[in-house]
Amino acid sequence: MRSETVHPPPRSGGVESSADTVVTELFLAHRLAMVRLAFLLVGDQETAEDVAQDAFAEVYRRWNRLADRGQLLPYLRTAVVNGCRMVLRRRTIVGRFRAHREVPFWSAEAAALLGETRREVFLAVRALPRRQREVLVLRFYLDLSEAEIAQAMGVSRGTVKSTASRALKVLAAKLQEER
Amino acid sequence: MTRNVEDRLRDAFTVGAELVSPESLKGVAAPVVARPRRTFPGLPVLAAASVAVVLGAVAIFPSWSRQPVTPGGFTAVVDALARRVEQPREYWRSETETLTRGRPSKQTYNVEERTRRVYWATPRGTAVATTPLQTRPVTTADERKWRAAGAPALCGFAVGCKGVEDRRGRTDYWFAEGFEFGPVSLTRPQLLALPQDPQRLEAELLRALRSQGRLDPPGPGVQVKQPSEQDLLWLTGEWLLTQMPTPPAVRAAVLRMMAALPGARIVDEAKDAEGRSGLAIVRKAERDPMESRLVIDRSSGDVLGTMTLVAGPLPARAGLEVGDLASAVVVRKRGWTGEGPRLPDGCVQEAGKTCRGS
Repeated sequence: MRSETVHPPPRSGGVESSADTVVTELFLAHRLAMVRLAFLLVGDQETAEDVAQDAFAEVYRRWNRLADRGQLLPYLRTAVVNGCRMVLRRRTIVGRFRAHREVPFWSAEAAALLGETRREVFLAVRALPRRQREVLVLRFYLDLSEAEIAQAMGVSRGTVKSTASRALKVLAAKLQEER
Repeated sequence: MTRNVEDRLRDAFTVGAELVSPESLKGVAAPVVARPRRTFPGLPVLAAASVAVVLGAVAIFPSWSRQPVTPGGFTAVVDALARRVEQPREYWRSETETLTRGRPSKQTYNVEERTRRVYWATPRGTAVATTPLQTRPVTTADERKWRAAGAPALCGFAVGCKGVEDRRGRTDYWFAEGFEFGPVSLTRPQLLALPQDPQRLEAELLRALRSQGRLDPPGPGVQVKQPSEQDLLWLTGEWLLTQMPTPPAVRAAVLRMMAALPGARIVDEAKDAEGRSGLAIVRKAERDPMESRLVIDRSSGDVLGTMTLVAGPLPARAGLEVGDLASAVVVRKRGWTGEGPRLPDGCVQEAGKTCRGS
């Protein structure tokens, strides 16, 4: 969960905040959170930083076309989720032609830092379909509501609910097995 | 079962995400140079960010730039925090993990007790969920002595869990109407309307501390060493920063107030109990041989955690020496959220009541 931070609308006190100012402040305040979100979805920091950077660039590029500039954070989240999907899709395609390259999230150092119990959870989450993983990360890392998750993923609230329910059932069974 | 899975997911995601530390992020310009296809179109944003860093506006790349953070850096971090606008939502949730170290009575080894505390602010009041996690020997030497003593079960500092119920992994809930800390009790409107000016904030907190009494003794006839007003201000500041839904501008005022307390100083490179680095405000308590550290994230101004270290001689039975960590709080999560607490079956949130989870 992260604080729901919104930035003042561009027109505040009669002064128009420029894209430079607002996106720079947004970047300074939320870069780490967006990299971490991407990291949980793609599994390596370098790619996560690229995805987050592209998301901020997207906000900047589309500044003049953004209808509601009070909703920059939800827009950013959506851009990060979409960016992660593209990365994973690319990896799948590349993986068909080359041997699958394991992402460094599961390095010995990371495993040691996480501990065995948490590593079990991550392995179980990683085995889930992409959409289920996204719902779980948005719900249990960012603590978003069903409506916010639906917005970030571009699906209906009903889909979020059923996807989360299915994912939790699978995880409960999987983690119980491993006890 | 599902609830257990949800808790495990929250814990794993929070700790997993922290593998990405603020100081491990590349400098803004670095990815542009190293990976030209990943450039940031419309470079003014990056340029502005870089200028902000160079000017010390926000020191977000300490490991890259290796610039020492000066008290001016602290001011810039706090200024940025004060400018942030947070949109309150229906629920507030702060999750902290507290660790306490010391020597159990009549033993020769030290143990560390960990407790998770989740603080909720809901439209119906506040809820605190406390879960004792584990107690274990602190060092390898402590573990050796504990094993030599027969490796007794540890329920907090109760060796062998004698006379206490083993609540490890189980959550107890406690509900209140407002926000309570020691002698201070604030309503939600009072909390949200705290002054954003450090001097006025200090005066307001002192007024509350003076009017609402002193720390209660734990039992009849027990003498409690009362902390000084300055020490109480520090503790109240920690509480406001780590657990309460205070607006960013108020949090900035709290940081400024704490940094201005007598004996407080800014430390450039500090780490919290989990090894996360940031700026710290450090201050020795006036009436206890303890030094408190409040570690702040450089990029956001949010509190990462607090640490209390031994700064003077303690009785031998405490098992702690000067420089040892006595206790710490690690802030895992803190912020507004769309979902409220999930209480055990049959448990109703009502001020003054408690519930025991299984």
